[in-house]
Amino acid sequence: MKWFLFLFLGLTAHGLDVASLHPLITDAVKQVGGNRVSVVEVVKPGMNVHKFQPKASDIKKMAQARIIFASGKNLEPYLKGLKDNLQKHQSIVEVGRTIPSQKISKKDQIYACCPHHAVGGIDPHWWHNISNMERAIRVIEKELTKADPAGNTTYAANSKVARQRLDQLEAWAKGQIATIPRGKRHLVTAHAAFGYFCKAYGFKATFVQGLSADGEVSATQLAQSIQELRKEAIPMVFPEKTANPKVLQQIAKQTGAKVGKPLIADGSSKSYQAMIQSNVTHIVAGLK
Amino acid sequence: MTKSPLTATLIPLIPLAALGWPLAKVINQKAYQPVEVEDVATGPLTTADLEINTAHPFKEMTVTIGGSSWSFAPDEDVKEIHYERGSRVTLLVSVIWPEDTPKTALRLELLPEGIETRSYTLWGLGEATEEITFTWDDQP
Repeated sequence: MKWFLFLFLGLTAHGLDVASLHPLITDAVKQVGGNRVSVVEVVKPGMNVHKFQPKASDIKKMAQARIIFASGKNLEPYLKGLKDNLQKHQSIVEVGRTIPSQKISKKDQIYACCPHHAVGGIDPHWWHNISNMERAIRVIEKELTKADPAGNTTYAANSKVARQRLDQLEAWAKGQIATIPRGKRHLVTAHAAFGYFCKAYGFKATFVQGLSADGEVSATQLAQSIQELRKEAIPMVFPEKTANPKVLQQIAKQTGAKVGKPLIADGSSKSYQAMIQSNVTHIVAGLK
Repeated sequence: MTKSPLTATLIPLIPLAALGWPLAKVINQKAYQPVEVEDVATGPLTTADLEINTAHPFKEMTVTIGGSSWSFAPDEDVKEIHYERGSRVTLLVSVIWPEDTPKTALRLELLPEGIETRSYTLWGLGEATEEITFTWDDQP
C-alpha cells in the first residue's frame, strides 16, 4: 500500500520521477534535482524539438513522471493534447512561461515556416540569453520543491550552484564577445533561433531561413539578404548543427562571406554550458 | 414542351452556384493569425522573485511595497513577492548589519513574471534605508 502511494505520487525509491521534453531543460532539471530526481528524457539531444510529436510510447514512458517539464512559449504546440492524456497526479510545467518574451518581427527577416513561428508570434528560443536560463533554474527549483518538499534544502543548494555557474558562464561569454569590434557584431544564421542571444549580447541579427531548422526561403527574401550582407561586408555566416547548410553556402558564395563553424540552436549538445561555450567560441572566432 | 421562364433562368445558374460555393470558401479565408502565447502579465497583481546578494551577511532586512512587507532572514536569498501591477514599482528597503561590519553592498534583483529583470546595488555602513523605483517602458 505504501509502495503504491509512493508510486502514485511520483516519488519512488530512487526519488522524484519527472520527464523532460527538451534536452536543455533535462540538463537543468538534472542539475537542480541531483540524486533526488530521476529524469525521463523524452526529447534527446539531436532530436528536432520543432517537429517532435509525442507517440503513445512516449506517453507511456512519462507515465510515472509527477512533473513533465516543457520549454514553453509554444515550442511544444502538442501540450494541450498531452495534458488530456495525463493522469491526475501529473502536471506540465512550461519552464519558459514566466521568462520575458521577444516577439518575432519583420525586420528579423523571418520566414514564416509554420503557424507557430510567424511574424507577430513569440520566439521560443529563450535559452540563448543566459540570464533567462538562470530564471529557468529558479522555476525548476520551485516546482521540484512543491512536488517534493522534503528535498527543499537539496534543490535550493543545487539551484544556487547552478545559477552561480551560469553567472560565471555569462561573464565569460560577455568577455569573449567584447573582443569583437562593435561594428562587426552582426550575426547571420539560417534558422532564426538566436534572437534572444542577439538582444542580450548586442548583436544585429539576420536570419535568412526563419525559425524552423528546415524552412525554405523565398527567392525575394534570399535576394534581400544577399544585398544586405554585401552592403555590410559580412565576413562570416553561421550554419547550424542539424540544419541543412545549402542556403547559407549559396549566400556565402554570392556575398564573399565565409561559412563558419556550425552553431547549436536547440540543444544538440551534451550540456547547456557546452552549447553556449561552443556558440560563443565560433562566433568570436568568425567575427573578430 | 417549353420550360417555364423561372426554370429556364435557374438551370444555367446551377453549375455557377456549384463552382461559386468552393470559390467563396477560398476567397473568404480568414487572414493568417499567428499563434499567441498565453500572456503571463495579466491580473491585478504581479508575481516576482526578489533575489538578494550580499557582500557581508546582514542582521535584519525588510522590503516594503505599498502596504506589504517582506522580511529576509540572514540565510535567505530569494522571496516570492506580489505587488500591484504597473509600469513602475517602488521598494522601501531597510537593512541592519551586525556591528563591526565595514561599509558594504547589497544587490537586489527583481524578476517579475514575464517582465524584464531590474537590479540595484545598495550601499550602507551599519544600517541603510533607501527607496528604490524600478520602471518598465514597454510593460503593463
